[in-house]
Amino acid sequence: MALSFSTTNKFLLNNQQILRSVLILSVRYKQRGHIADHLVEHHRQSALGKLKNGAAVDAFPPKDDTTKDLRTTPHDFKYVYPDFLPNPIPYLRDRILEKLERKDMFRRRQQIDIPEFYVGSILAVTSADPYAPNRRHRFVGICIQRERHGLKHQFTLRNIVDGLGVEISYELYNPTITKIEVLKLERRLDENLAYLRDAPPEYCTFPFDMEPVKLPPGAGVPLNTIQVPITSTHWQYKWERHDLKGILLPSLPRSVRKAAERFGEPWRQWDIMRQYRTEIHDDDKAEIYEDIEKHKEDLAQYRIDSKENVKITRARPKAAGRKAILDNSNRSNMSTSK
Amino acid sequence: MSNLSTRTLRVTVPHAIRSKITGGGQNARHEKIKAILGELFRHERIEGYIRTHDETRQYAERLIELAKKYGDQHVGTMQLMDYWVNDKDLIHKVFKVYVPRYTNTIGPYTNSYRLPIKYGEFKFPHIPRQNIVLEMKDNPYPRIIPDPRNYSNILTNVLLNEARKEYRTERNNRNEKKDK
Repeated sequence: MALSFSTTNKFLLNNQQILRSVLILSVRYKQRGHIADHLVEHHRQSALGKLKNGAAVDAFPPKDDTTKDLRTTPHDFKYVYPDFLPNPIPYLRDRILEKLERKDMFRRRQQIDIPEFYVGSILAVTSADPYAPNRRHRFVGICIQRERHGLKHQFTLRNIVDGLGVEISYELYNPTITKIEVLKLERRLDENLAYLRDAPPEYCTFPFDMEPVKLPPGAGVPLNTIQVPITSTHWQYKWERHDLKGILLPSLPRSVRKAAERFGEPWRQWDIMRQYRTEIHDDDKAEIYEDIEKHKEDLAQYRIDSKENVKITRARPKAAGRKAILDNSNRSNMSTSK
Repeated sequence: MSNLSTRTLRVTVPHAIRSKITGGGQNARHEKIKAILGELFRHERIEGYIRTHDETRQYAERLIELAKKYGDQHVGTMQLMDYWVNDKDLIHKVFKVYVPRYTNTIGPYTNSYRLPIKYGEFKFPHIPRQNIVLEMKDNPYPRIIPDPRNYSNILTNVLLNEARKEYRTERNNRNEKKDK
């Protein structure tokens, strides 16, 4: 299935609008319970500002079988740069807005390196936090989803910190993000890994001091064909209904299986006009791709220019921003008052 | 299948699908579209209710765009063709007749014309419906909207053309005789 870019949560079924509690920093708790007192005390006392050796207490090594399957991703830019694709709904298209947003996205990409990553890759994001020591907050996690279009493009990282599942949604073009590193570049079988919330903790625990995994040069993006078991007693969504390839469901009662088949809508994968309405077509993509290619050339030039190769000769001495303006205004005020 | 993409179709695609072209759910809708597609590909010119046939027109255009772009050796495209075209000889026709016919054109590959609604004839329980003619472009039948400015088939022009040809051959023969 193509990447789901709808703003609505596709796992929420039509008449089940579960009232999700909106939490600051999008920290997600298990729906069933509150945090135990001893765990709250533990958090209060732990020095979370310092980088610890390993994130979680009793951390298990993350399991994967990447060595088995090393498939290459088709290097179509719709997989590499999904943030540049606009919303496919025709009455929400605004070509001028898209062009302007793309310009802003390229300007941001000149400032920091936004790497190529996919759902299932492990990222480390450093963002500016005025309340943290060193004014920086670093979070490591597996990317479970990528949503929205253009400048609003978001990705969510999940990790288990001190036994508590934490998910943080970052906007890719947020200027307070100072660094995005890809510690492990890989793909999974699904485009949305929300099911990791109902999986055993070892499948989404990653140490904060994880070393980046280097791929051989010229290699494709490896596909991790891992099948994550769903072991939680209460599931957040009905995972059996969504045709998820990367999960191992437990044995389900017959009624549940039959309902899942009916929900599956086997005709949907053949309906070419429905798919047509959910995707961006070749002529629009060609235009966007032209812009991206031009941006890459500009980027190469920008990086050369910024490397002391070009000496900038100043016509007048460099003023220190606000101070210069204030001095000028004071001088003019004094002159006018006199 | 959902990673097969084409250009924007040059046919009006409303923002929502017409889901109620027939009763019986989405499977019945697909069956109906397959039936009309089969007729269109076989006869190249069909008449019918605008709601069903306009829907089928979009599918026909998309299938031909996919066939043009990916060709008949592409697994995904062949699977789609196998699903949407019931008669398998029509799949051959799409790749062997329609794709070569439309390789150098971009536009819509089908034309649709509205037929007059016969308001006077009211036969209960039929309600007067807007019917259309759907046809593949460059089909062998005479045009639906005749081109009034093609006068090459009127008798005077035919006779004149023949006379012109005769004059030319005679002149060429005379020139050859002179050269010899």
